[in-house]
Amino acid sequence: MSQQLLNDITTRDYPYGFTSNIETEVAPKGLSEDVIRMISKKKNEPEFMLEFRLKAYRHWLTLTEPKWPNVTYPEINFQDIHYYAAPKAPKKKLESLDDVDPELLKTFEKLGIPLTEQKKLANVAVDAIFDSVSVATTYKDKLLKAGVVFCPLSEAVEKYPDIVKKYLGSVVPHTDNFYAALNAAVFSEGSFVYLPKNTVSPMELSTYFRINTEESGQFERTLIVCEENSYVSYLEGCTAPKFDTNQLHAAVVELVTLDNAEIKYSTVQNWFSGDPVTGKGGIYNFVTKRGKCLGKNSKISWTQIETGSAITWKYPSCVLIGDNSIGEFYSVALTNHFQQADTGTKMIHIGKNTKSTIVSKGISAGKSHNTYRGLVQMNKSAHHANNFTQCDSMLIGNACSANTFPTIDVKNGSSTVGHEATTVKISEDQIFYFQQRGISMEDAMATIINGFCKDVFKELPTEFAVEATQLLGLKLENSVG
Amino acid sequence: MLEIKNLHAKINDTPILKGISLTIKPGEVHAIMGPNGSGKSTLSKVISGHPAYDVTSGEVLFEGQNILELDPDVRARLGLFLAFQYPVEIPGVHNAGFLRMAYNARRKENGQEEVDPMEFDELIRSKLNLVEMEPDFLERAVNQGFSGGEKKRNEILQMLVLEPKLAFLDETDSGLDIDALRIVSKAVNAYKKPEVGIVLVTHYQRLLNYIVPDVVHVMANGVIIKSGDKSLALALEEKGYEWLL
Amino acid sequence: MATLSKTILTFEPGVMINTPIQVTSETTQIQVGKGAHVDFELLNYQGSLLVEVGDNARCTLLSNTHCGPQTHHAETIRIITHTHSHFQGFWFSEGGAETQRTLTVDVQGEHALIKLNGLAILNTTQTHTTHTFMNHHVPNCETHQFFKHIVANEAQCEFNGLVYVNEIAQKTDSYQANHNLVLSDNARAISRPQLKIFADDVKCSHGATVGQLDEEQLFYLKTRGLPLAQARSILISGFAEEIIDRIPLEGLRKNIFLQLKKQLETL
Repeated sequence: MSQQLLNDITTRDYPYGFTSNIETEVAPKGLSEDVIRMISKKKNEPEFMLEFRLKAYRHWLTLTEPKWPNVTYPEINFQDIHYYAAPKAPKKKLESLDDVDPELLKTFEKLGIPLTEQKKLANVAVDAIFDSVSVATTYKDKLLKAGVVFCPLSEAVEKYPDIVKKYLGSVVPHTDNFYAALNAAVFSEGSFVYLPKNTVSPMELSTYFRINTEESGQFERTLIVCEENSYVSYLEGCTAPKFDTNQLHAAVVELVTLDNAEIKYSTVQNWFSGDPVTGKGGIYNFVTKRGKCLGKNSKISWTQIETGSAITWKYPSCVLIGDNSIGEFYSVALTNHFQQADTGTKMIHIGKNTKSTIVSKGISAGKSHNTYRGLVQMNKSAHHANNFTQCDSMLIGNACSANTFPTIDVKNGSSTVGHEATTVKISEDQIFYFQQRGISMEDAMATIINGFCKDVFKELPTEFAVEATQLLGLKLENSVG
Repeated sequence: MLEIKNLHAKINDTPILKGISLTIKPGEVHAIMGPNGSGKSTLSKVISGHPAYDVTSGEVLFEGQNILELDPDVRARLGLFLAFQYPVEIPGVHNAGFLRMAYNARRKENGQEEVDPMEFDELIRSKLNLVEMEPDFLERAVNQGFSGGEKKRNEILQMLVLEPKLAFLDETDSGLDIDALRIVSKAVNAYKKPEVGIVLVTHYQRLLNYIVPDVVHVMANGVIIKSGDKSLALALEEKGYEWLL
Repeated sequence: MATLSKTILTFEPGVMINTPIQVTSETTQIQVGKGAHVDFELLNYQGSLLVEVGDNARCTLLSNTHCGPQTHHAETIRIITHTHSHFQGFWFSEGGAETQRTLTVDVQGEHALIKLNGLAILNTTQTHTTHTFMNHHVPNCETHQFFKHIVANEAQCEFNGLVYVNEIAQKTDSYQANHNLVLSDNARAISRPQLKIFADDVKCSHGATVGQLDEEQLFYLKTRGLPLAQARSILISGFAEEIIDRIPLEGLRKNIFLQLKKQLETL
C-alpha cells in the first residue's frame, strides 16, 4: 500500500476540535467528600442520591486502576481533574431554550445537532449535554404523549425517584470496577429513558455529549428502562475540542428490559483522539456499559462505531437472565496514529434458550493498537443457549497491531458456542480492480473498508449509518452497502 | 488509437515482455494468442498499469498520449478497459453500487452530473439483458461467490456500462461453458463499433469462431513472433503452437 | 523400539531413523541436526523439554499421557524450528487427575511448516489445561494448531492458545482451531484462542467451538437401528479420529486408536 495514500486517508483533520467561548462554572480540581456533597447540592438531589454517591466514593478509595487492558498511558492524577463544569445560565434552572446561552446553541449547531424549535432534526429527539449539564431536550412533549420519558437524569431523580431508586446501579453496581465506582460518586449528568408497559417510542432518541472544558472530566450516566412489550432505539454521539492534555471520560450506561421489551443502543464515538503527529492529548474513554435482559423474550442490541479517543476501554455487555432473551453486539473499532483501543463485549447467559451474536470489525492503522476482548459465558442454568461470534481485523501498514482475545466458558452440556476470527488485508489486486474501472485509489480503499464493516453498519439507524460511513473517511455515502 | 513501441517489462526482476510493438486502430478487433507463459496476459496488465510490473523500456501511446506514467484509474477514465482473467472478490461491496461509482467517476471527469441509483438502475437493466443476467445479481457483493461464468459475464457487463474506447478481454473465454461463451460473444459483438478497439487475449481459437478478429498475433517468450489475419488462428488450431516455435 | 534415557539427545545432520524413539522424562533436550529425520514418542512425559529442529530437518513427536487417575501431570515443551524444517506434534491425553501442558514454538527459520495437534478425552473430575504459544519471528512460515477436547461427567478442559506474529514475519500463514465436545451438564470447557498480529501481510485465523453431539446425526443413526449408546460412541469417536487420523506413524496411530476405543467405553 502506498505510504502517500495511507497518509491521506489517515491524516484528515478532526473537524470538531474547536473550543466554545462559554462562561463556565467549574468546581475546584480534585475529589473529596466535600466535592461530592457540592455536586449533589448543585443538582438539588434528595438524600438517597447523596448516599449513593458517598457509598461509591468510599468504595472507590479502596480500589486501584485496572492494569489488565492492553493499553499504556501515564498514570492519571485523579486530584488534577475538575469533576464538575457547567455552562453558566441566567437562571438557576433551564425552563426553555431562551434560557440557554446562544453561544451554546451555536456550538451544537456547528456539530450538526441543531436544538432550536425551527431547526431540530426530524424524527430524532435529542438530549444535548455540555460538560456536566444537559442543555436541552427536544421533542419532550411529543414523547411524553406517546408515554416515553426522555429527560436529563437529574430531572428524573426529581420527577421519577422511585424508578431511579429501583434501577440506578442495578446493572452496573458501584462495586463493579474502578471507573464505575468513580462515576457513581461524581456523575453529573446523563440521560434517562423510561418506557412503561406497551410503549413503542415514535422516534429515535439521541444524546449528544460534548466536553468543552480543559482538564475536566465527563462522567455521565445513562439509564434506560424498557418495561413489558416496549421498544426504544437510542443513539449517543460525542465530540470534544482539541487540547494538549488528556481528558477523562468515565461514563456508565445501564439498560434494563422486562418481558418482550427491546432496546437498541447505538454509539458513534468520535471523541478527540489526540494529535496525529505527537500523540499528545485526546480523550481517555473508560466506559462501563451493560444491559440486563431481565424479562423473557427481551432483547438488547449494542452497535458501536468507535473512531475517536486516545484510549478506549469499553465492553458493552449483556446479562441474559430472562428465558429466550437475546443479546447482540456489533462493533467497528478504527484506530489510527497513536490511538489504543481495548474493546469488545461480554455475553453472560443465565436463562434458558438465550441467544447472543457478536460481530466485531477492527481496523488498525498508523502506530495504533487495536484489541478485541470478549467473554461468552454459558452458565449452568443456560440450557440450550447459543452464541456465534465473528471477529475480523484489518491492518493497514506495518507499525500497528491487531489483537484478538476471546474467552469462551461453557458450564453446561446443551449450549453451543462458535467463534471465528480472521485477519484481512486489502490486496493490491483489489485496489487495482477498482482503479482499472476508473476509481481512485483513495476511494477504492474507503470502499473496501466500508465493505469490511458492512455487517455492522447495517445495524445502525439509517440517519446515523451515513454519518458513520463518512466518519471512516468514506466518500461513498449511500451508494455502496 | 493504441501504439505500443518496443515495450519491455519485468516482474520481480524477471523479464516478461521483451520488446512488443503493436498498433491498434479504432474499429479493429485484434486477437493475441500464445502458449501459457508467453506474456500475453502480462501485456494487458502492463498497459492498464498493474503495480506489480515494472516497465523497463518502450512506450505505450493511447490516442497519442504516453500513458505509462499515469495511475491505473486515470488510464481507465481515458477509456481503457481490462476484463480480468481472474476478477477479485470484494466482500461487502455492493455490485451495482460499485458499478455506479465507476460510472460516475467517468462522468465527473467529463464534467457531467453524477447519476443517482434510480437513474442508474434504468440504464443498467438493458445491459443486464444483453448478458442474460437476473437483476438480483446486482445486489450481491462484487464477484463474491460468483461462479466462473458469472464473473466473466460481470466483467462484460461492466464493459457495456463503462463504454471504453479500447477493451482488453483477458482469457474471457476460459472457464465458460458453451452457453456462457455464446452469451459473452453476443454481448461483445453488440458492443463492436467503428470507434472502439477490442483486443481478445486467448489461448484457444474457439472464441474466435464467435468474435471474428481482423488481426491475429502470436506471442511467445515475451515477443510477437507472427501476425496475420484470422486464418492464422485456424492454422494454429490445426498445427498447434509448436509449429511456430 | 529404541528407548534412550539421556539428558541430551543429539542427532547428527542427515541421519534418518525409521522407527520412533521413545523418550523418557530424563531427557531435557533433543537436537535434530540439519536434514535429519527422526521421530519420537513420549510416554507420560513429565518435566520440561527443548526440541530443536535444524534446517531442512523433519521431526514428528507424539506425546501420550495415560497415567493413573491420581497423577498430576505437568509437561512443558519448547520447540525451535529452523529454515525449511518440518515439525509435527501430537498430544494425546486421557489419564491423570490434572494435566498442565505448555507448548511453545519459536519459529526462527523461514519456510518452516509446523503442526500441533491435541486430543484430550476427560471423564470423572479430571482437569486438563493446554497453553500454546506459536511465536512467528521470521517471514514465510506456515503453522497449524488443531486441538480437540471431549469432557464428560465433571471433567474440565481449558485451551489457551496464542498466535504471535512479529512485525517482520510477513506472509505468515497461521491457523488455530479448538473444538470442544461437552457431554454433561457438570462438565466445563474453556477456550481462549488469541491472536497478536503486528504484520499486515499475513493470513491468520482461528476458530473455536463448544457444542454437543448433533441431534440430527444421532437421530439418523438411530433410524438405522443403532442403540443410543452405540450411536453416541460412533459420533464421539468420529470427532476424535479427525485428530488421530493425522498421525503419520502407523504403529503409534493404531495404539492411540485402541486407547481411544477403551476410553470411549467409560464415557
